Amino acid sequence: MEVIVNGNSSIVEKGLTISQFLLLKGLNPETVIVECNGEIVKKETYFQVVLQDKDCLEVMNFVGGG
Amino acid sequence: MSDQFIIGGKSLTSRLFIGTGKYSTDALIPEIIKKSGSQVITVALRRVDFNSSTGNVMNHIPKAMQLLPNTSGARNAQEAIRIARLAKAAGYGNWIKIEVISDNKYLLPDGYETIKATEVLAGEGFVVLPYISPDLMVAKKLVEVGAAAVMPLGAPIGTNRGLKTKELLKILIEEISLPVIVDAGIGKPSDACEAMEMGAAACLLNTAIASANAPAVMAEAFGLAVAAGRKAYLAGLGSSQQYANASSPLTGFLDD
Repeated sequence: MEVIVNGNSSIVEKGLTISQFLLLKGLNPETVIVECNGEIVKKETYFQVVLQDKDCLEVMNFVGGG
Repeated sequence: MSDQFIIGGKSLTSRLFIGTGKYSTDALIPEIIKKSGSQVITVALRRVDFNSSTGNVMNHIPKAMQLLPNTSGARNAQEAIRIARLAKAAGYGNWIKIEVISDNKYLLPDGYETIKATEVLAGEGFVVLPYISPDLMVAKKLVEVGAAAVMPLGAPIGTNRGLKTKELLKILIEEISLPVIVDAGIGKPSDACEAMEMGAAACLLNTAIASANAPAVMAEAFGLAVAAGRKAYLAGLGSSQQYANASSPLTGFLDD
Protein backbone atom coordinates (compact mmCIF):
# COMPACT_ATOMS: atom_id res chain seq x y z
CA MET A 1 0.00 0.00 0.00
CA GLU A 2 0.99 3.63 -0.37
CA VAL A 3 1.66 6.22 2.32
CA ILE A 4 2.78 9.80 1.79
CA VAL A 5 5.79 10.60 3.95
CA ASN A 6 7.03 14.19 4.11
CA GLY A 7 5.39 14.84 0.80
CA ASN A 8 6.81 11.78 -0.99
CA SER A 9 5.04 8.57 -1.89
CA SER A 10 6.32 5.46 -0.16
CA ILE A 11 5.22 1.85 -0.68
CA VAL A 12 4.98 -0.11 2.56
CA GLU A 13 3.64 -3.46 3.68
CA LYS A 14 0.15 -3.63 5.13
CA GLY A 15 -0.15 -3.90 8.90
CA LEU A 16 2.96 -1.87 9.68
CA THR A 17 2.90 0.17 12.90
CA ILE A 18 4.46 3.60 13.12
CA SER A 19 7.28 2.18 15.29
CA GLN A 20 8.02 -0.52 12.72
CA PHE A 21 7.91 2.01 9.90
CA LEU A 22 10.38 4.35 11.68
CA LEU A 23 12.79 1.53 12.48
CA LEU A 24 12.59 0.39 8.86
CA LYS A 25 13.67 3.89 7.84
CA GLY A 26 16.58 3.75 10.27
CA LEU A 27 15.09 6.24 12.73
CA ASN A 28 14.94 6.07 16.50
CA PRO A 29 11.22 6.37 17.39
CA GLU A 30 12.24 8.12 20.62
CA THR A 31 13.71 11.10 18.79
CA VAL A 32 11.18 11.81 16.07
CA ILE A 33 7.81 13.50 16.05
CA VAL A 34 5.07 12.12 13.85
CA GLU A 35 1.94 13.74 12.53
CA CYS A 36 -0.54 11.44 10.77
CA ASN A 37 -3.23 13.05 8.60
CA GLY A 38 -2.72 16.34 10.42
CA GLU A 39 -2.97 14.88 13.94
CA ILE A 40 0.00 14.56 16.28
CA VAL A 41 0.61 10.90 17.15
CA LYS A 42 1.49 10.39 20.80
CA LYS A 43 4.89 8.76 21.19
CA GLU A 44 3.57 6.10 23.54
CA THR A 45 1.17 4.91 20.82
CA TYR A 46 3.75 4.51 18.01
CA PHE A 47 3.84 0.76 18.56
CA GLN A 48 0.02 0.51 18.39
CA VAL A 49 -0.96 2.78 15.50
CA VAL A 50 -1.15 0.77 12.27
CA LEU A 51 -0.58 2.64 9.02
CA GLN A 52 -3.49 2.72 6.60
CA ASP A 53 -3.43 3.03 2.81
CA LYS A 54 -3.03 6.69 1.71
CA ASP A 55 -2.06 7.90 5.20
CA CYS A 56 -0.20 11.16 5.08
CA LEU A 57 2.72 11.31 7.52
CA GLU A 58 4.96 14.14 8.56
CA VAL A 59 8.08 12.89 10.30
CA MET A 60 10.13 15.57 12.03
CA ASN A 61 13.01 15.94 14.42
CA PHE A 62 14.97 18.68 16.10
CA VAL A 63 17.90 20.23 14.28
CA GLY A 64 20.35 22.98 15.17
CA GLY A 65 18.71 26.40 15.31
CA GLY A 66 18.82 29.74 17.08
CA MET B 1 24.56 38.26 46.47
CA SER B 2 21.55 36.09 45.72
CA ASP B 3 20.34 36.67 42.18
CA GLN B 4 17.70 34.17 41.21
CA PHE B 5 16.42 34.12 37.67
CA ILE B 6 13.15 32.25 37.55
CA ILE B 7 11.36 31.66 34.29
CA GLY B 8 8.59 29.22 33.63
CA GLY B 9 8.94 28.02 37.22
CA LYS B 10 12.57 27.07 36.64
CA SER B 11 15.38 28.70 38.59
CA LEU B 12 18.44 29.45 36.45
CA THR B 13 21.91 30.48 37.49
CA SER B 14 23.13 31.36 33.99
CA ARG B 15 21.61 34.25 32.09
CA LEU B 16 23.07 33.22 28.76
CA PHE B 17 20.82 31.26 26.40
CA ILE B 18 22.50 29.73 23.38
CA GLY B 19 21.48 28.43 19.97
CA THR B 20 22.62 25.28 18.19
CA GLY B 21 22.57 26.47 14.57
CA LYS B 22 25.42 27.02 12.13
CA TYR B 23 28.02 24.76 13.74
CA SER B 24 30.29 22.88 11.36
CA THR B 25 29.35 19.78 13.34
CA ASP B 26 26.84 19.23 16.15
CA ALA B 27 29.60 17.40 18.01
CA LEU B 28 30.93 20.84 19.05
CA ILE B 29 27.78 21.57 21.03
CA PRO B 30 28.63 19.80 24.34
CA GLU B 31 31.84 21.82 24.69
CA ILE B 32 29.99 25.06 23.83
CA ILE B 33 27.43 24.29 26.55
CA LYS B 34 30.12 23.50 29.08
CA LYS B 35 32.25 26.57 28.39
CA SER B 36 29.32 28.99 28.21
CA GLY B 37 27.72 27.71 31.42
CA SER B 38 24.38 28.07 29.67
CA GLN B 39 21.35 26.12 30.90
CA VAL B 40 18.88 26.98 28.14
CA ILE B 41 19.40 25.96 24.53
CA THR B 42 17.39 26.49 21.36
CA VAL B 43 16.68 24.03 18.56
CA ALA B 44 14.52 24.11 15.44
CA LEU B 45 12.01 21.55 14.15
CA ARG B 46 12.33 20.23 10.63
CA ARG B 47 11.20 17.36 8.43
CA VAL B 48 13.47 14.33 8.62
CA ASP B 49 15.54 14.00 5.46
CA PHE B 50 15.34 10.31 4.61
CA ASN B 51 18.05 10.65 1.99
CA SER B 52 20.76 11.82 4.32
CA SER B 53 22.03 10.17 7.45
CA THR B 54 22.84 13.30 9.42
CA GLY B 55 23.02 12.73 13.15
CA ASN B 56 20.46 13.95 15.63
CA VAL B 57 21.24 17.20 17.45
CA MET B 58 19.55 15.84 20.57
CA ASN B 59 22.38 13.32 20.94
CA HIS B 60 24.64 16.28 21.76
CA ILE B 61 22.44 18.09 24.30
CA PRO B 62 22.67 16.90 27.91
CA LYS B 63 19.35 16.02 29.56
CA ALA B 64 19.83 18.68 32.25
CA MET B 65 19.58 21.48 29.68
CA GLN B 66 16.27 23.31 29.34
CA LEU B 67 15.27 22.88 25.72
CA LEU B 68 13.79 25.93 24.00
CA PRO B 69 12.48 24.83 20.60
CA ASN B 70 11.76 27.69 18.21
CA THR B 71 8.98 28.03 15.66
CA SER B 72 11.30 29.12 12.86
CA GLY B 73 9.73 28.59 9.48
CA ALA B 74 6.35 29.80 10.73
CA ARG B 75 4.93 32.68 8.67
CA ASN B 76 1.78 33.20 10.72
CA ALA B 77 0.28 32.39 14.11
CA GLN B 78 -1.38 29.20 12.90
CA GLU B 79 1.90 27.72 11.67
CA ALA B 80 3.69 28.74 14.85
CA ILE B 81 1.01 27.06 16.97
CA ARG B 82 1.30 23.86 14.92
CA ILE B 83 5.09 23.78 15.29
CA ALA B 84 4.85 24.49 19.03
CA ARG B 85 2.44 21.59 19.57
CA LEU B 86 4.66 19.25 17.56
CA ALA B 87 7.72 20.36 19.53
CA LYS B 88 5.92 19.66 22.79
CA ALA B 89 5.01 16.18 21.55
CA ALA B 90 8.73 15.45 21.32
CA GLY B 91 8.69 15.19 25.10
CA TYR B 92 11.29 17.75 26.14
CA GLY B 93 9.03 20.08 28.06
CA ASN B 94 6.73 22.96 27.27
CA TRP B 95 9.00 25.91 26.54
CA ILE B 96 8.65 27.53 23.14
CA LYS B 97 10.33 30.44 21.41
CA ILE B 98 7.73 32.00 19.13
CA GLU B 99 9.33 33.18 15.94
CA VAL B 100 6.92 34.32 13.22
CA ILE B 101 8.70 35.74 10.21
CA SER B 102 7.56 36.50 6.70
CA ASP B 103 10.19 39.12 5.83
CA ASN B 104 13.05 37.24 4.22
CA LYS B 105 15.52 40.11 3.89
CA TYR B 106 15.78 41.32 7.48
CA LEU B 107 13.98 38.40 9.18
CA LEU B 108 12.03 40.86 11.30
CA PRO B 109 9.27 39.26 13.38
CA ASP B 110 5.56 39.80 12.82
CA GLY B 111 4.29 41.29 16.09
CA TYR B 112 0.59 40.84 15.39
CA GLU B 113 0.86 37.13 14.53
CA THR B 114 3.27 36.61 17.44
CA ILE B 115 0.72 38.01 19.89
CA LYS B 116 -2.01 35.72 18.50
CA ALA B 117 0.20 32.63 18.75
CA THR B 118 1.36 33.55 22.25
CA GLU B 119 -2.19 33.94 23.51
CA VAL B 120 -3.24 30.48 22.27
CA LEU B 121 -0.10 28.69 23.45
CA ALA B 122 0.06 30.38 26.85
CA GLY B 123 -3.57 29.29 27.27
CA GLU B 124 -2.47 25.70 26.58
CA GLY B 125 0.14 25.89 29.33
CA PHE B 126 3.25 26.57 27.25
CA VAL B 127 6.06 28.71 28.65
CA VAL B 128 6.10 31.19 25.78
CA LEU B 129 9.15 33.30 24.95
CA PRO B 130 8.31 35.43 21.92
CA TYR B 131 10.95 36.91 19.61
CA ILE B 132 9.93 40.50 18.82
CA SER B 133 11.04 43.83 17.52
CA PRO B 134 11.58 46.09 20.56
CA ASP B 135 8.11 47.62 20.31
CA LEU B 136 6.61 48.69 23.62
CA MET B 137 3.00 48.16 22.61
CA VAL B 138 3.67 44.66 21.25
CA ALA B 139 5.53 43.82 24.45
CA LYS B 140 2.65 45.13 26.60
CA LYS B 141 0.16 42.99 24.68
CA LEU B 142 2.40 39.96 25.18
CA VAL B 143 2.37 40.58 28.93
CA GLU B 144 -1.44 40.67 28.81
CA VAL B 145 -1.76 37.42 26.86
CA GLY B 146 0.53 35.42 29.13
CA ALA B 147 4.07 35.41 27.73
CA ALA B 148 6.77 34.27 30.19
CA ALA B 149 9.30 36.81 28.87
CA VAL B 150 9.81 39.03 25.84
CA MET B 151 12.78 38.61 23.55
CA PRO B 152 13.49 41.79 21.58
CA LEU B 153 16.20 41.90 18.94
CA GLY B 154 19.36 43.95 19.22
CA ALA B 155 19.88 43.80 15.45
CA PRO B 156 18.60 41.49 12.70
CA ILE B 157 19.26 37.75 13.16
CA GLY B 158 22.76 36.59 12.36
CA THR B 159 24.19 40.06 11.68
CA ASN B 160 26.54 40.33 14.69
CA ARG B 161 25.89 44.09 14.63
CA GLY B 162 25.25 44.58 18.34
CA LEU B 163 22.67 46.64 20.20
CA LYS B 164 21.42 48.79 17.33
CA THR B 165 18.04 49.07 19.05
CA LYS B 166 19.51 50.17 22.39
CA GLU B 167 17.16 53.09 23.11
CA LEU B 168 14.09 50.93 22.47
CA LEU B 169 15.48 48.05 24.53
CA LYS B 170 15.94 50.46 27.45
CA ILE B 171 12.29 51.45 27.22
CA LEU B 172 11.19 47.80 27.30
CA ILE B 173 13.43 47.04 30.26
CA GLU B 174 11.97 50.04 32.11
CA GLU B 175 8.33 49.49 31.25
CA ILE B 176 7.80 45.72 30.97
CA SER B 177 7.34 43.69 34.11
CA LEU B 178 8.46 40.42 32.46
CA PRO B 179 12.09 39.41 31.90
CA VAL B 180 13.50 41.14 28.81
CA ILE B 181 15.87 38.75 27.02
CA VAL B 182 17.89 40.36 24.24
CA ASP B 183 17.79 37.94 21.32
CA ALA B 184 19.48 38.32 17.93
CA GLY B 185 22.17 40.60 16.64
CA ILE B 186 24.55 40.38 19.57
CA GLY B 187 27.99 40.08 17.98
CA LYS B 188 30.53 40.61 20.73
CA PRO B 189 30.80 39.77 24.41
CA SER B 190 30.84 43.55 25.05
CA ASP B 191 27.38 43.79 23.41
CA ALA B 192 26.04 41.11 25.73
CA CYS B 193 27.71 42.75 28.71
CA GLU B 194 26.17 46.11 27.83
CA ALA B 195 22.69 44.58 27.49
CA MET B 196 23.07 43.07 30.95
CA GLU B 197 24.38 46.34 32.43
CA MET B 198 21.24 48.00 31.07
CA GLY B 199 19.11 45.54 33.03
CA ALA B 200 18.28 42.89 30.48
CA ALA B 201 17.34 39.66 32.26
CA ALA B 202 19.34 37.47 29.86
CA CYS B 203 20.82 37.27 26.37
CA LEU B 204 20.18 34.68 23.68
CA LEU B 205 22.72 34.29 20.93
CA ASN B 206 23.88 31.81 18.35
CA THR B 207 25.79 33.25 15.40
CA ALA B 208 28.34 35.20 17.45
CA ILE B 209 29.58 31.95 19.02
CA ALA B 210 29.08 29.67 16.02
CA SER B 211 30.90 32.00 13.63
CA ALA B 212 33.92 32.61 15.88
CA ASN B 213 37.26 31.07 14.93
CA ALA B 214 37.27 29.23 18.24
CA PRO B 215 33.60 28.76 19.19
CA ALA B 216 34.20 27.13 22.58
CA VAL B 217 36.54 29.94 23.67
CA MET B 218 33.99 32.51 22.48
CA ALA B 219 31.27 30.66 24.40
CA GLU B 220 33.33 31.07 27.56
CA ALA B 221 33.90 34.76 26.78
CA PHE B 222 30.14 35.29 26.42
CA GLY B 223 29.44 33.46 29.67
CA LEU B 224 31.86 35.75 31.50
CA ALA B 225 30.52 38.88 29.77
CA VAL B 226 26.90 38.13 30.66
CA ALA B 227 27.83 37.39 34.29
CA ALA B 228 29.94 40.57 34.50
CA GLY B 229 27.20 42.73 33.01
CA ARG B 230 24.63 41.30 35.39
CA LYS B 231 26.88 41.88 38.39
CA ALA B 232 27.50 45.48 37.28
CA TYR B 233 23.75 46.04 36.94
CA LEU B 234 23.16 44.71 40.45
CA ALA B 235 26.00 46.82 41.82
CA GLY B 236 24.45 49.95 40.30
CA LEU B 237 26.53 51.89 37.79
CA GLY B 238 28.03 55.20 38.96
CA SER B 239 26.69 58.31 37.25
CA SER B 240 28.54 59.74 34.27
CA GLN B 241 29.73 63.37 34.31
CA GLN B 242 30.78 65.88 31.69
CA TYR B 243 33.83 67.22 33.58
CA ALA B 244 36.70 65.56 35.42
CA ASN B 245 36.25 64.73 39.08
CA ALA B 246 39.58 63.84 40.75
CA SER B 247 39.80 60.43 42.31
CA SER B 248 42.75 61.42 44.50
CA PRO B 249 42.51 64.05 47.29
CA LEU B 250 43.03 67.66 46.13
CA THR B 251 44.74 68.67 49.41
CA GLY B 252 48.05 67.80 51.09
CA PHE B 253 50.27 68.15 48.02
CA LEU B 254 54.06 68.07 48.72
CA ASP B 255 54.61 71.77 48.07
CA ASP B 256 51.59 72.98 50.12
